[in-house]
Amino acid sequence: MNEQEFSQKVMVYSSKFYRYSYKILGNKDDAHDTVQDLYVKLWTIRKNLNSISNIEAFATTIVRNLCIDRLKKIKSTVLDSGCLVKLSVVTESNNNEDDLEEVDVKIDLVRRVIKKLPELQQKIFLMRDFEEKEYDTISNELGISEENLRVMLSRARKKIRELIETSR
Amino acid sequence: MNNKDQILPEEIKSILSKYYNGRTTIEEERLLKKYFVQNQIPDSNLSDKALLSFVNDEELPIFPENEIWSKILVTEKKKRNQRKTIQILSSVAASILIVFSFSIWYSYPTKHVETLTDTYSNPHEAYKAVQKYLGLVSTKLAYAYTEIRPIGKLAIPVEAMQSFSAIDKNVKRLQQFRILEGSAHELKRFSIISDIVIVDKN
Repeated sequence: MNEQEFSQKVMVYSSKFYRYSYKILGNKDDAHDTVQDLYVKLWTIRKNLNSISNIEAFATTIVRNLCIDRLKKIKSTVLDSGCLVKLSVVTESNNNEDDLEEVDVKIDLVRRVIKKLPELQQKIFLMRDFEEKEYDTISNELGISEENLRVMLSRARKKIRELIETSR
Repeated sequence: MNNKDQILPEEIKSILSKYYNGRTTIEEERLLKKYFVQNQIPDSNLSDKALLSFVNDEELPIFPENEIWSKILVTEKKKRNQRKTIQILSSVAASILIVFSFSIWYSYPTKHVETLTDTYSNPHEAYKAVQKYLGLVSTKLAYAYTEIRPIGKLAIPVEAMQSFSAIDKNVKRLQQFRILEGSAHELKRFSIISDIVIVDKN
């Protein structure tokens, strides 16, 4: 795969992966580094990329793992001010300033809570709720039964809600 | 209107319950995210709002491609430099090894010659020393031989010990070197002969 092909087939997803890592990591610097790390990795294996049928899915798996790794390293998630503003805009229909702030703080909390989940639950949660993958795709990719997957997904979502509630 | 007075529509409540049980379809999940982000949510459901706003895919600025390319270039350059450093280091190590092995090669034979150098300058003294130690070995062997002889009665063949008598014989032959004990003149003659031999060789 040459430079031009790499740009057309791989580089096109950079903004998507940036959005993905930014959401999980909560700050632009970490998201930025993650995307750069991802593309350096992909560039080093560019010769083998032509044999991969779905490059987007392949790269998503790498970026997910990079995010999970980075999330472990971040001691306390530093919420980027840009991220705060963005989320405030999303919740602008809510007129109460205090509530806006509360939701922002809680969203940061979600990040910290994800860090506490077992790695398999982290992956399942990200694959379903971020990547919007179908149940059978996830169960195939992770090698677990669909029923088991639903149970673990349910557990992860409930755990996140529970930890947000208790931190009130 | 205060958030406290808000209640969730039954449809949303039902989907939310399905969501927490891992039973929702992707369409239902999208509907749920959209609802929680765009509508006023009761206080009791703020945790759900946080979770669903978090997973809601929102637009963010485009990632600058040129930054990725510059990072790739920097990493490639670093790798190339690393490879160069490894090459330089290995060639240095190889040359040190070559120099080291050559130095051993050259120093080893000189040491070997040194060990063979004669420790006695006077052949007369040397002969005496050899005679002394061979004589000692001979008497010890003779003693052992006579001591072992009775064991022959215990069915050990005496022939087995015959080889030791050969050593004894050889020691006797050494006696012929007594000629060296001769006069100092004779010794001088020997040294002249050896000198002639050396000259001839040259």
